[in-house]
Amino acid sequence: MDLTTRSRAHRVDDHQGPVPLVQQQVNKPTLLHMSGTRPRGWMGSRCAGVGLLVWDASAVEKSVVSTDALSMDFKGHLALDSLDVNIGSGVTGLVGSNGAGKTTLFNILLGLITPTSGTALVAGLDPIKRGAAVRARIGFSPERNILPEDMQAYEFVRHLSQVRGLPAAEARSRSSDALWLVGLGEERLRPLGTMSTGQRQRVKLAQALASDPTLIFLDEPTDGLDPVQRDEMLELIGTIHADFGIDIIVSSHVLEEVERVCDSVVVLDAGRCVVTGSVSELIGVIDTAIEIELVEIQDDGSIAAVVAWLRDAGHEATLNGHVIRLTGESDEMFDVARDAIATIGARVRRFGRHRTSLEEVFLSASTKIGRPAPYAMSNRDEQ
Amino acid sequence: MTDSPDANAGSAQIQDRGYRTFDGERNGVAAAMWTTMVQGLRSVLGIGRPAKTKILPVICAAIAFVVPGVFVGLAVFIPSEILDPNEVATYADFYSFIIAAIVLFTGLVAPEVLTGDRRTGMIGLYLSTPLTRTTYLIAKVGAVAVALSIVTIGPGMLLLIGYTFAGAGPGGLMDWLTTLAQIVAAGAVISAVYAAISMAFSAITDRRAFASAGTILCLLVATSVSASLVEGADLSENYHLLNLFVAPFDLVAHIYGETDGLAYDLAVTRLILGNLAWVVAGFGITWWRYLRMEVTR
Repeated sequence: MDLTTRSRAHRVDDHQGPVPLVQQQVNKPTLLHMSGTRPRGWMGSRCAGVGLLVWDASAVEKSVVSTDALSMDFKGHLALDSLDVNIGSGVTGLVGSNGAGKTTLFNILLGLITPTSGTALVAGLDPIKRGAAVRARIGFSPERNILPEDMQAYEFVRHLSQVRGLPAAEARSRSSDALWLVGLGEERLRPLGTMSTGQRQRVKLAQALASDPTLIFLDEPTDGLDPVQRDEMLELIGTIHADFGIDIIVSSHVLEEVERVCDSVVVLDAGRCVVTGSVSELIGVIDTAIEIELVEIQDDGSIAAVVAWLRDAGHEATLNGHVIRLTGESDEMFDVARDAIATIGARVRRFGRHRTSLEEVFLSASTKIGRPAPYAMSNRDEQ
Repeated sequence: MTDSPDANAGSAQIQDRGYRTFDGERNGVAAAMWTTMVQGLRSVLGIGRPAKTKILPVICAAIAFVVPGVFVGLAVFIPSEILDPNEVATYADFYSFIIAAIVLFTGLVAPEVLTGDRRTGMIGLYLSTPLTRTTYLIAKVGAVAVALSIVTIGPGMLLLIGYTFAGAGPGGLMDWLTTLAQIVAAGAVISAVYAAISMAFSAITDRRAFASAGTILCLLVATSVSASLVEGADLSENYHLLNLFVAPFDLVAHIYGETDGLAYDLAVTRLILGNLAWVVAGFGITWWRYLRMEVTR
């Protein structure tokens, strides 16, 4: 599935592989097939069965990472199940609950483990056969925050930059530059053991960045961060791609983070790809309904009164908690909703068109392939 | 008269370049291995680390270098007619004076070089670079061997240089170079065997203390086991090759050609094979463990 073109989005439908959500803007040549083997460049996934596949010649050139029927079986535990993904340039979110296969996929893409079957390509190279060449182009920030405690941040970044191939003088200057970039310029000579979790996450990002990779894998980069640190980290990730053109694949189990920072998303569930596409399209699906979230003070019945007013006026209004969903032609519905609120005197917290969240997309996909609701997926507020 | 600001405007430069792309040529795997080896060595010696991490290496080095230092002092201050330094301690048998330092340093080095990377997750980062498990291990073997050489080759070198300046060194350039080669070869044998043993223990456990204790215990227990087999069970003297204080040091004696005082009559070939077996076993266990190790969590 190509994620390069923002107009392209897919989701799982009725036990089938991911199917195109938006087909009309797919680049030429466009061919539609229902099954069968395919040359590289086929977009789409058969991870959940036979799917509708879309051929995009440009995907071959643009692909940063692609996998073809990639499976990883850890002695009976299927961590990846015939995974087909095609990730283009930009910031891509690799989303999934714990155990979904995110870290396993990273490990295969880094050439650290050999898949049971299938193939993977990173920048056109096979990470198993040409692991050193692949890893020379990649920066990697692991999930765990335990680092050598008595090593200075600068020394840590400098050393890894040299191991990644930078000459000594260049490694020295770039390590400082990278640490300044992530906001640790003043702290660069501090031992890692004295740094907070947020600072360690930044150091890990700096070491991934310092050798000027073309692609960075960030494994749970916001893990353990407070909300402010989390915002800063997400902003930093966006900046790195925007300013330096480095492609980033960031794994997370927090959908809201992915919505904020990523151009594209690949959602894994039990080693399978359940949703993939451009974030703007997946979450930007707008229906004609509008949502009114009201504030109820001391059970004054204002919310129920607004619903009753709308229904009396002949409109379709449903209530879910404090949120009223009003279906109809949107321009008219805004006026109707305004009148209802003003007449009852209700207090409004939020008022606008309904937008599909990534979590709703994931929930819908999981339900359609017969999986239970996402057990470990959560948004930021729930953490 | 000072220049006007405009006079220097043409030479002004912005020194803070900030993060930027790198278009230069990158070094290869060999350079990555070298960097990793040097970093391992720095870690063992406590370079760039807090003072407390320097204590043990300094103690070991002090023990190892004090002995040849004393011999050199005797050679300098006592005339050779009264006391011939080469009769006090030869290059072969002076190891018996520093064996404690070598054993202590062996217990310190490999656990520091290997287990630290696993506990801190550095191994995952190393293997996300052009290094593979094998090239990573080769770099680490280099770090351990070079570190051990400090106490296995360094004291011999001090003795040679000290005796030379005291006028008690080998006569003639060829003899001097031969002695130098013997010192390097002898130190390399001890370093290789002890590095292999300590790396095997360091590969088995993530706990540095356990790896250190295991290494030192192995050296001691092997001595008892071999003695029991040869003297208790009356088996072949070849079982002395299990003795990690006999196998390498008897070979060292053969390297120096000083076999008169050896307690056991083990042929050179058997000594070479015995030491080789220890090296292969130690590094083999280490390699086997690392090939199967999960490195990213």
